[in-house]
Amino acid sequence: MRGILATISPVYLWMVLFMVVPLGLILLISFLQRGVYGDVKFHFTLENYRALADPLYVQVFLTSVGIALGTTVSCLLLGYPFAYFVAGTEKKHHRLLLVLIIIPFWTNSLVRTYAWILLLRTEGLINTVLLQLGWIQEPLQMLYSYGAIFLGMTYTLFPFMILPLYSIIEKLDKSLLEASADLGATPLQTFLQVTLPLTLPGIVAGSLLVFIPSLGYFFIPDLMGGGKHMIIGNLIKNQFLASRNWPFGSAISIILILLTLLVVLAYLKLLGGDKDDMGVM
Amino acid sequence: MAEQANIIVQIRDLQKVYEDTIAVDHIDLDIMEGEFLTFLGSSGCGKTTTLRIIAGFEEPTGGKVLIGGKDVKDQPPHERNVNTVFQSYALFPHMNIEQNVGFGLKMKKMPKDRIRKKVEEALKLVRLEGYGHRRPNQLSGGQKQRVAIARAIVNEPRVLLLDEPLGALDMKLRKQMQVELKHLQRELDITFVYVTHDQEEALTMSDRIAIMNDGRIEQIGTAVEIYENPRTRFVADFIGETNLFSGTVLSQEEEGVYRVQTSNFTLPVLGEGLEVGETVSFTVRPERIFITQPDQPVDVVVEATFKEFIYIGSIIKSIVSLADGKEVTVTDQAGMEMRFQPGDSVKLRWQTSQSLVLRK
Amino acid sequence: MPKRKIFSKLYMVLIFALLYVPILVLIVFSFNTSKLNAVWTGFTLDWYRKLMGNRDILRAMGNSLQVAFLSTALSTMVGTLAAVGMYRYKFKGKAVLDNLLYIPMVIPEIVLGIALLMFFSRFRVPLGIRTLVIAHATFSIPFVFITVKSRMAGFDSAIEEAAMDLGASPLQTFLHVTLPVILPGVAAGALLSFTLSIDDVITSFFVTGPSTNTFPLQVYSMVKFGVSPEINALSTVMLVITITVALLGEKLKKE
Repeated sequence: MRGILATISPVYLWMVLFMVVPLGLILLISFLQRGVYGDVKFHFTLENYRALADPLYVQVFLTSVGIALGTTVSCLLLGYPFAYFVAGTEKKHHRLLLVLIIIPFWTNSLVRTYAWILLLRTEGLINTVLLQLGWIQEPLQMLYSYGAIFLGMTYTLFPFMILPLYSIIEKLDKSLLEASADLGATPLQTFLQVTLPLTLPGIVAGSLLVFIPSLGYFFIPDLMGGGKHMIIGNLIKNQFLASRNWPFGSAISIILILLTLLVVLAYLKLLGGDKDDMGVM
Repeated sequence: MAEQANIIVQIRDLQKVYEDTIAVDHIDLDIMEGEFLTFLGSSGCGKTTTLRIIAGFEEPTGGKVLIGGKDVKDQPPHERNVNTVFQSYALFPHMNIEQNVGFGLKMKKMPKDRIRKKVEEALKLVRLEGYGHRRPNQLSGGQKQRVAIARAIVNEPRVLLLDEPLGALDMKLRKQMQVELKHLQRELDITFVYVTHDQEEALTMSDRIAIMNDGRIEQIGTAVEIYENPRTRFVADFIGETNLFSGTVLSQEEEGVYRVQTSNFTLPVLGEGLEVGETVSFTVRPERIFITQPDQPVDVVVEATFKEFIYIGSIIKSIVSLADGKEVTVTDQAGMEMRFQPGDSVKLRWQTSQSLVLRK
Repeated sequence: MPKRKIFSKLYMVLIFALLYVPILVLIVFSFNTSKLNAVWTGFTLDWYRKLMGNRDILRAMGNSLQVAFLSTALSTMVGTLAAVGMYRYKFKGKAVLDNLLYIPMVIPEIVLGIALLMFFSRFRVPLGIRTLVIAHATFSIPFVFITVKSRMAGFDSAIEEAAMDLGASPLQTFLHVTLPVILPGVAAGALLSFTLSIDDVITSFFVTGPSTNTFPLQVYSMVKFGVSPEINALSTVMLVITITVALLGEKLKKE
């Protein structure tokens, strides 16, 4: 009993005080009214949720989910063959390749976003090179578009897709693939019937790890979209810092949490996923 | 242990219930000072749980354990004067052998030079002198096992608990360690409580064997008692190979001898307090049945049909069938001529003293 | 099938190039004499020298390090104890705690950021180093927990029993046996926690005070004003710090 108390109570207290209570606070405030000076009035209302139905905000949500889905799909399409090929290399190279995969994972997302700005901006490296080669006469406007946001998101979140994919593909029992071929399946059939179903948990885990954060990475639209395009993250940020409408910002956050929980629960319950796969590291 | 031994561990009405399974079901047992007692049974029979309760790793749901006459209910493992040798060895991977063996003494705050001396002695006892500075992962399975034993006995426990300590070793090493353990136990003169599922191991090493099944002790006794005189069907079946028959009691012939009718024949069997008309099962060991004419006189002669020989090295097994098709196994020393052909009529013979009625 | 092999090699090279080229360009141009970040004009360390002379940047660096050390210490302690407790004991509410610990890992970071911001303002905790430390420890604890927990998965609980069997009290068992065995996991967790803290943008963005910038927030505010080789240099310094710490952690985890 004393052992339980000594080991468990610190974490319990910490998580309740600094996570459960703050999240509860969001929930509470999302039902309250905004005061005149940006404060919060203790007056119950559903207005904050009703306001979300405004086409303007619906648009932000749709854009957000669209970018998130697009990012997830492009990470998956680029990442799956990559993880597959890496896992298929000789064993002695695996460690080095894995480290090479992990390093971008550890580099600051902001720094990586900035790196692309260097390349893409009108006076950037790509335009400079293309102009000097004479391939273009005018610098291309590549930044400050959906495409740029999309690229930034994909680049930033790509490692989150690779790690779970790689770890599951690497563990795949190669004799199953041989058995499938032995039983007359073509490589494509083997891939569709054996490889894909067996690596599905990695696909789903990776997709979640890309999809969820991409809803909140406000600095990528800020920097690469030039502030012209908004995702949920920007909307929330603005409510708290610019327009100081905390109740409305809270309501958006609650919707974001619900959206996340829905996706995660679907993963855990419907697909029988493992919570531990979510913690990639 | 033969001479007037004292009781060291008393187990009284011990019970351990997990959510929906009964692991230990009202066990009563006295363990004598200096004896080698083995809990024998298949996995899930409650033997390990019983051992872990004695060690203090599990709390009983009911009943109690007394060590040296004292109820140990409130003593955590580190306060009990018993030590355990674990199946997985459980050597501390981050300490060398010397530190592993000396750990218990260090916890008792024994002076360093005395610890060193005692560790040296213990390592010598298990024939591992000079291995003190190695790490556990540099040792073979057998060596690790010896370290585990040294680490336990260096504390001079009153009782040493061994949980399938040889389970991870290969056959040959296991046989060798069995002998070593037995010698060690005699030399140290401490009580060994041993858990295994290997009947041969139990028969070789133990002074007494407690056969466990479904959380209960089915029978406790010396190896000879248990083999020669199994009391329940489970014990007869579990220890060695046997032929089981069932039948109805016809009459009592004399004190302890009953006439029993089976579907194939009537014959005399040994039993106690049976009622006429009662259904009983009895056993005859395969090596106590003769197919050919034995040297000594026999009481029972049964007609059978020869089916096949199975040659297994030191012995030959013959399978014969009775009139209703029931198969009976007979074993004999290898070297006997295999002179029967499948389909031959043969006679099975045994003495009444070899057929025992079992409980249940 | 050499054709397929060539294809797979090319593909891997291409993806690795896409992953690394932008970062390498960034690093290379941090040593470029031109301010333009587009054409190589010559090698210089000027931008690093400038960083050293910039008091805001130095202060941000100090803040980041202070926050990282404190939050790492806290999260490592709390997370390790939790992993040990969860491994060793059964208790009511264990499943609840297990789920609680996954929340910060799955919800978008921005949610934790604003939740803590409201929490701190409601309870009048002034924003600054202290709130940053609390926030960073909160998202780090689960990662330490998972790292130590995975280390404990290979842990033979019999060695703890063996220690107690040999007369060690629960505390002695923890100090002499459990902790040394899981130490590589604990260290890996601590390093992970450190990199998470020193890299964090989103949560810090909300819970930091007006006068306490961190390293990444400094980069953020500078990037908003435009591209400059100074940012390249600052980014390079950050990369070197995190990658060093992270590689160290990976190495420990593999042991």
